[in-house]
Amino acid sequence: MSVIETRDLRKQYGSVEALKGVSLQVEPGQIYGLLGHNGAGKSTMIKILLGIVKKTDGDAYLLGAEAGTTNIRKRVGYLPEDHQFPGYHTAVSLLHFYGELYGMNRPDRVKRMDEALDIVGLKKRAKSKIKTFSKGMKQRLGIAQSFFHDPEVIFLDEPTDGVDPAGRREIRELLQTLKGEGRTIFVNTHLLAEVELMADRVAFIHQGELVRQGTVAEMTRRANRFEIGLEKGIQFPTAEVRAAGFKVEVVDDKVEVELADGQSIDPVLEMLWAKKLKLRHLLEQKQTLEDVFMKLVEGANAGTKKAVRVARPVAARRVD
Amino acid sequence: MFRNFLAVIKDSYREAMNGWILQTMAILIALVFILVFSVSFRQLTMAEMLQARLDLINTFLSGNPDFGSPAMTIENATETNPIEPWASGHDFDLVITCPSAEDYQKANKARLPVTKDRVEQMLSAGEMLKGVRVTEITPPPEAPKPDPDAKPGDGKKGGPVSARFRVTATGTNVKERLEWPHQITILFAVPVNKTLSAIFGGDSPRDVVYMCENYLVNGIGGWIISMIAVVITASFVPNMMNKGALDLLIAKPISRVELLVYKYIGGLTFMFLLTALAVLGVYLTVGVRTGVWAPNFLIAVPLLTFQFAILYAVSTLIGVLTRNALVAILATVAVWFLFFAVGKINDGIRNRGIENRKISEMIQSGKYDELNIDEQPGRRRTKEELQREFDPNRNLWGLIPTSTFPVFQSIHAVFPRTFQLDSRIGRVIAEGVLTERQLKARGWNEPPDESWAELILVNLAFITVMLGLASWRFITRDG
Repeated sequence: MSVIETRDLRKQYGSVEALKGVSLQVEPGQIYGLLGHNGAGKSTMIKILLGIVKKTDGDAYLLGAEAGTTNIRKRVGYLPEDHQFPGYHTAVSLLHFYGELYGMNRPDRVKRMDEALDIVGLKKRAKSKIKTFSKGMKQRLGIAQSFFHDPEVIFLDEPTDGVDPAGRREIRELLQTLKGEGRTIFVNTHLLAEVELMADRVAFIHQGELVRQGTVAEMTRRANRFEIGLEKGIQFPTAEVRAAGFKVEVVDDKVEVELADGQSIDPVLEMLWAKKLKLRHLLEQKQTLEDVFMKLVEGANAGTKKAVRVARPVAARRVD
Repeated sequence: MFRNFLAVIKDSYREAMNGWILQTMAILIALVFILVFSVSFRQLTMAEMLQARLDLINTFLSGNPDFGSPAMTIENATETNPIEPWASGHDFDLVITCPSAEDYQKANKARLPVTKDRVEQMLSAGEMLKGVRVTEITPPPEAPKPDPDAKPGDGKKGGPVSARFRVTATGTNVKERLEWPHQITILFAVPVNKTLSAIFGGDSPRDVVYMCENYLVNGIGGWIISMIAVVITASFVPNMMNKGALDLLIAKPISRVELLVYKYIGGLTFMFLLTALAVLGVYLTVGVRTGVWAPNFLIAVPLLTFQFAILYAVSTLIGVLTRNALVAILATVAVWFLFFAVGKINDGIRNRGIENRKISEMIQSGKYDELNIDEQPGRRRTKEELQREFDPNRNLWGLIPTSTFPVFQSIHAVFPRTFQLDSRIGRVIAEGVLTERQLKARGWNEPPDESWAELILVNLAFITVMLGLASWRFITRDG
């Protein structure tokens, strides 16, 4: 049974169609990344699942029940984007407050919050007023509150916002740990490199439409393109390879050979071998999620008559 | 559900405790305790008590030359039981002195108590002395013969004149020490002017307790506490509905209606605690200092909270609609004033009806002496003049035309009864502290206009409508 399932989910804010019939399924124990630029409809999707906003049409199920019901929210954790904790709370008092709303008894709350604050590195500041926290600390507290009550599903809306590179790495590791405990994690982000490193399955949403979904491996695989480099000073036999029916593109001191369907790279390698050219570099190319996303966005925009200005996602940054 | 309730209440408490307003309030309340604790009493003699009241009259009369500036003093007072003057017989001289015989005649013409009969009438009407008998020791001076040689501007002739009356009273209408006038001292050492304390609602320990409880706590204190509570709690709902804060809360397993209602009750708890601290503290302090233990006063805690509940329901609705604390504060204060104004006008309309009937009966029966109180000395208005002056269709307080009365009455029918509730709290306090005689003196002897059922049900209905609308808006909005 899917943990999250939507069928033809629609949401209209006045004249704006935020979701245009989105259908997706998330299986238990997955880290699922919903990707898209700002305003694509990612947060609306989570909010409908949690009952924060009401769907206009379609179906949404969470943990087998109609999404948005009060009881089901006991089994769910949530970190909203741009969240704002009441400044008069300390980390401890806030977690006590939320824990009580989740129906946790005091010993449980004390034990779990101690662990959670330790995991997110806030134990030393546990009794400081939240108003004295930096943005990164607030974000880490937000993550702590999303999982400290032992939920089955955790929704994280832009979880690495405001967090430094080291913190991001810790968050990724934490999400892997939570996944290892059997929880399902649904992450909304526009930081594609982040999700590429941690998600099992991703979906791209653009202007309220789900344009593609699959595993990260499926998305990033770029079949039939090889990068070849020969020993320094040796010329690549470009003309002969082209003559053999391959597409060749010179990039700096290397060449990229693109195979047509059914073609193999072996004839090219044999040709180099026969000419006794010394091979030093051979790499089957992959594409980043950002590449995939940009292609999808460009494709989607090309299909619309009206020119749409698309905010480019934050550049994929290798964070470690 | 109860766990959720406690969680939200605790959260509201934290929110209220954030900053120094609540702590400042606690300090202010502590100052009130000290002020009340600093009050002490010294029992007055009959002569002192009467002289304080006469001084008030003397001051009033000296301001108008048409009244002849009589000065009344008490002399040669004796009492049969000086320890308990309320249970004592009394004898004293009442001496009335005017600058001249001419002035004495002016006072007489103005129907002031300068003759034996009028002195007796005044002292008997005071509701203090029983069995008053007055004898003339030195009779009032004769009217001076007109001086044919006198010219305008000659001034008064003959010097001051006086009359002396011996007054005996078999007892008083006061039954106990707490009802008897006292010299009041505040701040441990500052005596309150006896005349002033007589003006401001009496000078017996019971009067002082009533003043402390009704004016200091229920009146000024209640107003300040309500105002502070409106300001502090007005941010509860908008803060909760802040973008970024609300999503965190409504994603928790608690329904929106629960959340809103618990927040509302959290605000009321805040008011309840402040009021309870003030009322209970003053109740205990007053009890220790005066021996007046009137548990009626304690009902001010739930009633003041109930009164605040009406305002806070408005604040909650505005908070949900606008998500803006400042707008919620301004709107609540405006509505507070509006409710008060409509209640007050309706009260005025009701009193006008009673007054109209009474005056009409008095004029018809020819017994309209008391309507002439403020008339020029020596001249009484005619029936027609009085009918014109007391025209039943005259504007209320000179401002509000009678044609608008039905409008105000209709509005009042659906508006919450904050004015009446306020008045009822005063009545309940008075009934617990004052004796029947004192209640009558303050006009609390008539039955109240509204029943408890009306006060509670109309106000509850209003609160329900406000919270219902707020909940509906909260449920139907996205995020």
